[in-house]
Amino acid sequence: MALTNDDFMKFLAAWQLVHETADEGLKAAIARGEEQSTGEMSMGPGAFVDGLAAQVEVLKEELKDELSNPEVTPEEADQDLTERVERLSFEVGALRGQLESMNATLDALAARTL
Amino acid sequence: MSARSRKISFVFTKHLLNALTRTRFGLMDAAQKRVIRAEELRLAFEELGPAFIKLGQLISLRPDMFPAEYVFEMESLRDAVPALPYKAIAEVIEKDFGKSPDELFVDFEREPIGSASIAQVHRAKLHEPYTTIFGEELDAGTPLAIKVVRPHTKETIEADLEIAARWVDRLNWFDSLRRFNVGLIVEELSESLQRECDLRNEARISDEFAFEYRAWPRVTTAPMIWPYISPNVLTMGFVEGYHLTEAEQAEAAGVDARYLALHGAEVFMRQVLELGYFHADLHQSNMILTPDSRICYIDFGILGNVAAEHREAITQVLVATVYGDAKRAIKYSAPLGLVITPERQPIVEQKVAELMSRTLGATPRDIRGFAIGFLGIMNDERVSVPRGFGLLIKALVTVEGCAQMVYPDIDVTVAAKPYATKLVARQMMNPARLYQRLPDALDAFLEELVG
Repeated sequence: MALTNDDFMKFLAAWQLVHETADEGLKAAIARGEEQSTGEMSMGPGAFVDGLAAQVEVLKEELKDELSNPEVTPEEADQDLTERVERLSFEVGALRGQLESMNATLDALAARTL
Repeated sequence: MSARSRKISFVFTKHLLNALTRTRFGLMDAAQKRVIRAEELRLAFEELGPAFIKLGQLISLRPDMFPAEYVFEMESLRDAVPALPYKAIAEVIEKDFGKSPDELFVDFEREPIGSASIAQVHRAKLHEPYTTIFGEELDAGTPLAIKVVRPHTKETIEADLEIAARWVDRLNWFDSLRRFNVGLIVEELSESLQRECDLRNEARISDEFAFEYRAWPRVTTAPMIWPYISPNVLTMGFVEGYHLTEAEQAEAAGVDARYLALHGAEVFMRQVLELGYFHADLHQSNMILTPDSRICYIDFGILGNVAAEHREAITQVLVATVYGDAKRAIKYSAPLGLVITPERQPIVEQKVAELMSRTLGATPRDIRGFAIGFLGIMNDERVSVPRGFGLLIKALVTVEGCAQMVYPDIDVTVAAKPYATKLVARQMMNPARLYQRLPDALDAFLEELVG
């Protein structure tokens, strides 16, 4: 049986639904976990998953902060940038050199064929 | 048998007989015999020309495969051949650029300033101003050195290589020669020649080297003039200065030659331990002391490589060697591929410790003696030396040789010590390394805690 365009779209919709449901489920678990009091996490598998989800959420937020504000001093950032610019300038220069060399070879070939 | 094959057979037989006579038909001790045989082999290579000279140069780069006496003897191969007439050189330039040397340059000198088996070098001046890839502006009339590959070099060498390949098959009949894996050397020779015969590779490496040392005011290279660079022609700025053998004149002219000799060792350390590649063909003609007290490196034909994962171990081995710590040197040699069986380890350590105290404990230190002795111990113990390791040992000896050519009392390990120590400290404090070691440290801590 051939797969139609509609079947493919249905598959994608199902895929999105699964993700949405899982996402909602995770959000609900985080909310429940945040409301837990000390020691409540050990009260069965459900409570453990909720508590774990809440803890992971805290770590995730920290990671987001770290990534958006890396602990790099302005001097370090400047130095890194300078090095990158220097390397890039060198590579552009090296490319220019090779083009000049190739150009000379092309001129020689052109002179020979004309 | 072709005339060339006959000549090769004749030359080798002649030097083999010489070696037999000089070693009193093999009655001398093994080390003396090796020295004499190596010398006769070198003389045979010199007599046979370019392909064999290159073969000898490759042997000099493989202390992992050949006895140390051969490796160090091949260093003194004289790669000087009669210069070709200007007409032949002009034809090569004209073929690559479509113009004669006189149209491309000003005052192109007919007589070369150097002539080797693969290329010869002529002086000339820049026709029009040129800005190098680093933004340095060179005026018209700037002195130049133009290296030109000798015509038909590649074809001649390839023909010799074919003959060499046939000889390899014959040499492999002998057990004592088979372990040298001459076939592999001939293959490497072929690859190396492919690279060396295209001078654009050398120009690229020279520029890369200049970039990596941009923050080192005492290190420089010749500027590359790319519009006049092709596979057969390399045009660079002519570097005025003194060769290492002219240190006295350099000093008289106000050059700080002693500082530069020590600085050269530091530059070498950085190449090996930080950049991961090094100038593996250092000799007195490839370094120039400039009037403004800088070292100019030229001729980047042969490069040695150090894999990133080996750099830490090499640093540790160097530090251990500098501080005369045999146990540490052997321990960190293992990750580099120097495999010693556990039962032989104490004996090897003892031999290396004795060698260290005899050569490195002496004043001045004898790094060359240490290198020959170390490779000899490995050979006696039938421990195969990895290629990178052998090349490194040899390069270190060369650096020492170059520095001592300027000042015989110089000790390159004095220059190496603070640099290598600093590098080890930096490696130890590297967050990635700490992270890698953390689980082991935690395990050890818990074990202590729990019991």
